[in-house]
Amino acid sequence: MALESKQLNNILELKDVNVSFTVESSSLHILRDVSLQVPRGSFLCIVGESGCGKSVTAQAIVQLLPDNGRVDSGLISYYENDQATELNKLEKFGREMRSFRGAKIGMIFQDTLSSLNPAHRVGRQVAESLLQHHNLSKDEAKERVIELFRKLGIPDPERRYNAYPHEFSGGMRQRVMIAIATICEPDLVIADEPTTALDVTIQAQIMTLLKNLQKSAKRTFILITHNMALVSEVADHVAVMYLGRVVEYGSVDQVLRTPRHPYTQALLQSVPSLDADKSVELKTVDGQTPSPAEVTKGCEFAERCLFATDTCRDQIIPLMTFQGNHQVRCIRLDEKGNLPKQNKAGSNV
Amino acid sequence: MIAFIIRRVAIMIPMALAISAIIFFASRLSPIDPLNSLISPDAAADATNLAILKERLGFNDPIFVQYFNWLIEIFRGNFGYSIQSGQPISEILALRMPATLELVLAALIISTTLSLLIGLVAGANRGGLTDKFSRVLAAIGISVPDFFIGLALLNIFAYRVSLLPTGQRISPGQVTFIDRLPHLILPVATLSIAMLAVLIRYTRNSVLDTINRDFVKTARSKGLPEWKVMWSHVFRNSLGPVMVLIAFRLPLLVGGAVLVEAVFQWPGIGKTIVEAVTVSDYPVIMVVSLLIAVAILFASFLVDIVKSILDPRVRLGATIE
Repeated sequence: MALESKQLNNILELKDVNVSFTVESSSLHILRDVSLQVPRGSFLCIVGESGCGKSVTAQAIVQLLPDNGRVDSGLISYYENDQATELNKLEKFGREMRSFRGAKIGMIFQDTLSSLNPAHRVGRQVAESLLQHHNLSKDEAKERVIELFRKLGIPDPERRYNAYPHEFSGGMRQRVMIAIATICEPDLVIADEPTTALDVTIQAQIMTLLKNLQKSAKRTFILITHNMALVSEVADHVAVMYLGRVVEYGSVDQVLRTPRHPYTQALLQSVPSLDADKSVELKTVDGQTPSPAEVTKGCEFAERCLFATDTCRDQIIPLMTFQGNHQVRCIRLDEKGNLPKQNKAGSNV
Repeated sequence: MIAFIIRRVAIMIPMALAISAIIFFASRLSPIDPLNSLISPDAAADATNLAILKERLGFNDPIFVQYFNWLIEIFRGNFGYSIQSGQPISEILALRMPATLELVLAALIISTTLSLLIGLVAGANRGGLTDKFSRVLAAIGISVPDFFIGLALLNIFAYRVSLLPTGQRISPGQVTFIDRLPHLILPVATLSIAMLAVLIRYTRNSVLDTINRDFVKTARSKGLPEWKVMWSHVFRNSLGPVMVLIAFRLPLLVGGAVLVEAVFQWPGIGKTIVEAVTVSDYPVIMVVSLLIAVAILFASFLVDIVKSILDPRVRLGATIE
C-alpha cells in the first residue's frame, strides 16, 4: 500500500476506534470514535480526567486490554518505512503482535511496585525483553542492561542488577520500568501516568529523563497524564479526552494557549497557579462526569457546557479542523474557531 | 537468610515447650483415672493398693515435678509406656508409623501433583473444560466428608465388585510390597480426593488472582509468548499460598489420617489415637499429641522458608531490626 506523504510523517494513527467492555453481561462503550495522529519523533500527551479512556487507548494500541474489553471497530495503524500494519487486525497473543510489543512499542506503567514482578530480580526482568527480541547470550544481555541502568541514572548498576523490586525506591523502580520499555530501542514508547505515584522532585527527574530519551533517539513518546503542568513542559502535541472521545487535538501551543473546546477551556481554568489571586475561588467545572452507560449520541459535555444548545445534545458532533490541523469536536465554534459570546445560549436557538 | 532461619527456630522452642505443658496439664484435668484400668477391679477396690501404685509411679509428686520428669524422659528418648498394653510407646510408634507414612505420603504426592496440574490449567483457561471439571471435583471433595467417600469406595470396589480388599494393610500370608499394593489403593484414593478438592480450588483461584496482577501486563508488554508469561510470571507467583496449604498437610505424616485409617482398619498412627482415646491411654495420647504439635510447628517453619524463597519480600523481616 502506497502511503500518502502525510501518513509517512506519522508513526501511529488511530481512526474511529471504538472499544467496549463487558461488565456484568452488559456492554459499556468506553472509547468512541477515537482518532489520533502521532507524528514520528514527537511527544504526544493525552490528557483528561480519570475514566476518560486515556489508559484504555494505550492498552488498545498494544492489544493489552483487560479480558472483558475489546476493540469493536476502527483502525490502529503503525507505520514503519513505507509499510503500514493494522495492529488491531493481528492476533492478540500471536507472533506478529508480540514482535511489536517491547521491540517496536515500549510500555511504561504507573504503579511500579505492582507492575514489576516481586519474585524476580530486576535485571532479569529487563533482560527478559532483550532476550525475547534479540539473539543474545545471557551475559551479553546482562551487559546491555547494566549499561542502560547506568545511562538511566541507577547507581551501582552491577549490584542493583540482582536486587528485587521492593529493594528500590519508587523513582528507581520507575527507572527500571523505563529500562524495560526502552531496552530494545523501540520507535514508540507509551507511558501511562509514569509519574503519578512519585514525589514531585522525583517526578521532574523522571520527566526530564523521558524527554531526553525521546530527543536523543528521535523516538516517539505518548504520555498519558492528567497533570497539565507536565504537558506544557514536555509535549509537542496534545490530545484532550473526555468520556471516551478526543474533544480537542493540536500542537501544544494550539491547545494550551488557544483552547477551543469548552471542556479544554474549563480544564485549563481549573489549574491553580502560584501568582493567582487567592481570594478568587478556583474555577471548577459544574456538574458530574456522566457514566459511560448514560451517554447519548450528542456531545457528552453538553450537560455541563455553558454554550450547549439542543442540537448539541441530539446531533452527532463531527471533529472540526481549524488552521494548522487543530481539531476540535464542537459545533458551537464559528469558522474562525471562536465560541459565541453569550452564555447559556440554549433558549435563543 | 541464615539469620532469618535462626530467628525462626528460636521462636519454635518456647512454643513447643508451651504446647507440651498444655498437653500435660490438660491430661491431668480429666476426671477419668487411668490407674483404674491398670490394676484389676479387685485390687482397685483396695485403696492401699492404689495408693502404693500412685506412689511408685510418681503421682504423689507435685504436678510441676511430674511435668518436668515427663519432659526430661521425653528428651532422653523415653516416651513412657502404654497403660493399655504395657508396651513402650516408642515401640508402638515404630510399629505404626510406617503404615501411616506409606498412606499419607502416597496420598500427598498424588493429590499435590494432580491438583497443581489441574489447578494451573484450570486457572490459565478460565471457563474451559478443565476448569469445569475441576469445579465439579472440588465441590464433591469439599462437601462430602472423607469417611463417606471411603465407605462409598469400599461399597463399590470391595463389596459389589470384589476387586480390592476391604481394609487392613496386608492379608494373611502376604509379604511383599506388591502384595500390599491393592490394600493401599482405596485408602490412598479416599485421602487423595479429600486433599485434592481444596488444593485444586486454591491453586486455580491463586492463578486467577495472579493473572490479573499488573506485572503480568508488563510481562506481556515485553512481547513474551503466553506460555512464558504463564510459566515464569503467573505460576511462580501463584505458588506461594498453595505451598502454605501443602506444608500444613505434612503433620498428617506423623499424626495419620484418623478417619480414613479408622474406615479402612489401617494400622497407622491415626488408628492408634482412636484406640488410645477409647481406653483413656493417656501416655500414648500425650506423646502422639506432642508429636503432631511439633510436626505442625516444623511445617510452619518450612512454610516460612519456602515462602521466603518464592517471595523475597518475606525475608525482609530478618533484616529490619
